Amino acid sequence: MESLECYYGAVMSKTGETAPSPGQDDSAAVPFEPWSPGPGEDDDPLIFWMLSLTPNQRLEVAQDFVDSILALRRGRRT
Amino acid sequence: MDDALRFSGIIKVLVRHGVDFILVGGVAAILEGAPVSTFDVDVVVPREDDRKRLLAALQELNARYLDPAGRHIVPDLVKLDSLRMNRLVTDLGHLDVLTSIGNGLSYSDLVGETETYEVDGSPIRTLKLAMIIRSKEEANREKDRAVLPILKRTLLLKQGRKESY
Repeated sequence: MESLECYYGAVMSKTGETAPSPGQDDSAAVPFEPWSPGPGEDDDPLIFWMLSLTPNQRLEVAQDFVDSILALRRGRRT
Repeated sequence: MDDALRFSGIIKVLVRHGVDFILVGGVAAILEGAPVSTFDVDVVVPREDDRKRLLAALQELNARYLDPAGRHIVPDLVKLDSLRMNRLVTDLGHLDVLTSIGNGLSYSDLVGETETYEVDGSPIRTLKLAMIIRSKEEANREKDRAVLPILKRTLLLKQGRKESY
């Protein structure tokens, strides 16, 4: 959350806007069109997110996935 | 799949023993930014390398060959020298030690196609995504073909953004 607050702060300093209150719906100001992937683009958001991580963070993501699978397996045994 | 798999733990032991290796396969693809999952660590070692350091690392990892019959067969210098593929179970998870991938791509073929990533403070030579894709196309196993679309898409998006990840 800290980075989000900084982001709002940076935007506010330039525009003089106030931070949106929790639950505020921005679609009133900007028409919202849901993202619809084209052929072969389904995984693009996931890929961009992965690419935004450092190599160590990417490895941690993979490790967390493995850990969750192993935890499920252990749960099944008991 | 065993009850332990520590990607960085296996890598750390190999590094600590001074093993010369290239990280390939799923973990390499992950370091290169592909959102894929894997349950083993794959490394390619030079054919002509001194296997003593590798053997010492494998002994620390309590490595034994993956054997459907359940026999306890441990690696030794003769096996490591003669086998192209050493599919091992260790205390930290599965580890494949290979001397080639794809259609016979060896360490010397691959070393120029690597990127170095720092993993837990150690520089790790990692196969570039384009070469991972090539090796999987050449291997042409069902599990390789299944992952190719997302690997290719990742490469395309990386190249499109022209950023150094």
